[in-house]
Amino acid sequence: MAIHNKKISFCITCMNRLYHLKQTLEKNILDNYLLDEVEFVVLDYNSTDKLGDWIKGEMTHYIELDILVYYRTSNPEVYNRSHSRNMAYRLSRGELVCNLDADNFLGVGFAKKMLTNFQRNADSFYTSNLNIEDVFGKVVLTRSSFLKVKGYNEGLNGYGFEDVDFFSRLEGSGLTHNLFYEPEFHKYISHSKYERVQNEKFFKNLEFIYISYKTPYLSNVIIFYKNNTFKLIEFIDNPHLNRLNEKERSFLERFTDELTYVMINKPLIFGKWEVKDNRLFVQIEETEFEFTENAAFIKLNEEDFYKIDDEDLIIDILLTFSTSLNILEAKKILNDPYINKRGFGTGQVFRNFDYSKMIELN
Amino acid sequence: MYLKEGLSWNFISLFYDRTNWDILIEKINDFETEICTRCKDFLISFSEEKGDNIRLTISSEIGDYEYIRKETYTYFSSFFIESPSVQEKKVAYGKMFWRGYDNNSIAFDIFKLTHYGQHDIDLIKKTNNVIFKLVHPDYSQDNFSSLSLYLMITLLKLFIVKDDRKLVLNSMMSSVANDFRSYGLLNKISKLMKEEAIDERDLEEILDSYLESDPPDDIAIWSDLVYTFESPRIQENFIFIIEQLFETLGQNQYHRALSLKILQSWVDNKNGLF
Repeated sequence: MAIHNKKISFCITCMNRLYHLKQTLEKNILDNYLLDEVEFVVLDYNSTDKLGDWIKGEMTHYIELDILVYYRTSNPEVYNRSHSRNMAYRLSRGELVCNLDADNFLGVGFAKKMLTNFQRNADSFYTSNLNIEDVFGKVVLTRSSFLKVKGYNEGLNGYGFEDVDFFSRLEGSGLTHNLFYEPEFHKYISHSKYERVQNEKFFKNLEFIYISYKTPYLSNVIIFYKNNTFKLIEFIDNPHLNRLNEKERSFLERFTDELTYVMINKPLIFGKWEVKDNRLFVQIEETEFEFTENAAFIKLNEEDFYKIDDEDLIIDILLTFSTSLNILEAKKILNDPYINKRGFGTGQVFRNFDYSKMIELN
Repeated sequence: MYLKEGLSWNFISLFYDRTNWDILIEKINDFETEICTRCKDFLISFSEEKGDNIRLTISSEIGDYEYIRKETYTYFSSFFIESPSVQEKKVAYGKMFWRGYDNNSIAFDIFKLTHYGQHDIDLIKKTNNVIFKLVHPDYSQDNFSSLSLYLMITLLKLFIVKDDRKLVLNSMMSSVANDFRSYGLLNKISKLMKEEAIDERDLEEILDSYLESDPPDDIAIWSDLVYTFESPRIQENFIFIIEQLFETLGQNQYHRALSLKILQSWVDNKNGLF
């Protein structure tokens, strides 16, 4: 178990984000250099981009100064936000912990500012202004608060909502939610949607997508996966239908309200598909449909479905699907004390390139 | 019923192909003067959200809410039957998340205003007067984009001191780019500029010509706006007016970011001379 001898730990989890870390890590360290008080924890979540080699070659100085600690786990095949963050928090030594995405800049003096703020009120947590998606996950809290709410919810897979769920449970545990507003603390590297999702399970498993348009606010989408299954989803455009909805809501209530999001409108339909002899066979319940492989247009149960080739739209749909599943999942267990029943942030890691000694997080 | 400032508000979207907006605008003007006698505020704006549409925001006494809704529906339904527009753009199936509303149809309550105070409504009306005089009769997106750039340059030149111009533009850009809904916007804009093969030199010449041209012939149309720049909140008012300009012209996040990006590059190239 780590000795908690640092004041604040910035926890960075990375799967193939070396190109971001090269731009942010050293700058963040230098902008927040408080020897003996600050540490940066980099959890290499089974990256294949030689992240470890770069740290070893370029950042050893900071490891020797005990400002930077490098951990590597080799088990994960895909990136899991909640699990990786829980691991990094558990490995850190700070009395305060902060999630820091690899593409985020901390800003000069962020650590000092947070240390001062928490001296005044430890029963709180700090987030960004919540208006910028790229820094939405930046949160500072005490280690004891993290342990009290049992970390990020590992039941939430994929993309989106794990932060909202986490903040909501922190608030539910009695902590005051504070925001930092300084533009300096909201800086990040702008990047494409593709970069954001390329390591996510839901993106790696995708084969292709078809869409059908029912009304201006209802669309049916079929996501075909590499394992020859598919899901048929009806989406509803809640934000469009609820433009006049002006319930008085707190920040977090706004983010946990289904009416704020495009959502799944009814139970999913599951099915199987395969391609044989250049023909696409789609089976829904007992009925099988047959089409030309890669057809731009197919007709299923009297509905016209169009193949989506636009990468941005594909990513939009996958992100929307993932977020709406997470919202439904999170709403079931919002403030539920029994999340992460089997523990959180568990797994095996190696510290600072010492591969002779495996650390087991139980 | 949507209530604000002691009035009821109707938000009406008239879906009608953009190529025929000049005809619809005439019809809307007739409606306002002849039929809508019980309307208090009557605001017009344009939109491409879920299909080409012109938006009417009408406030009234609470008791007149249903009456106005019914009158609007009856009046424009008949007009759409008599003079339907023909949809010019081909629907891009497989390229969008949602389909649009049917052309020649009416929808209620799918947008709203962001400000309802009397001062804000007056400013919106005055800004819109300027816009409508300049835009008529060309309602194409190209003209709307040009008009946005022209008005931004003219207003910057007239009312914002040289040293503050870049700052104001940067502030507007970060507000658009950091909007929670605008994820990946700047990357998309760069991509768009490459795809559309926007020639920066051509653009520079056009923007230079806006800078050199006099304010619009009818100088009086500016007078309504000038008072806003006499207050100490000049920059805030400038931003409000430009945002209103974007709203009225139905410029979505991409159009806004593109206009601001073009203007930022142009100002940068001026090396402090603008």
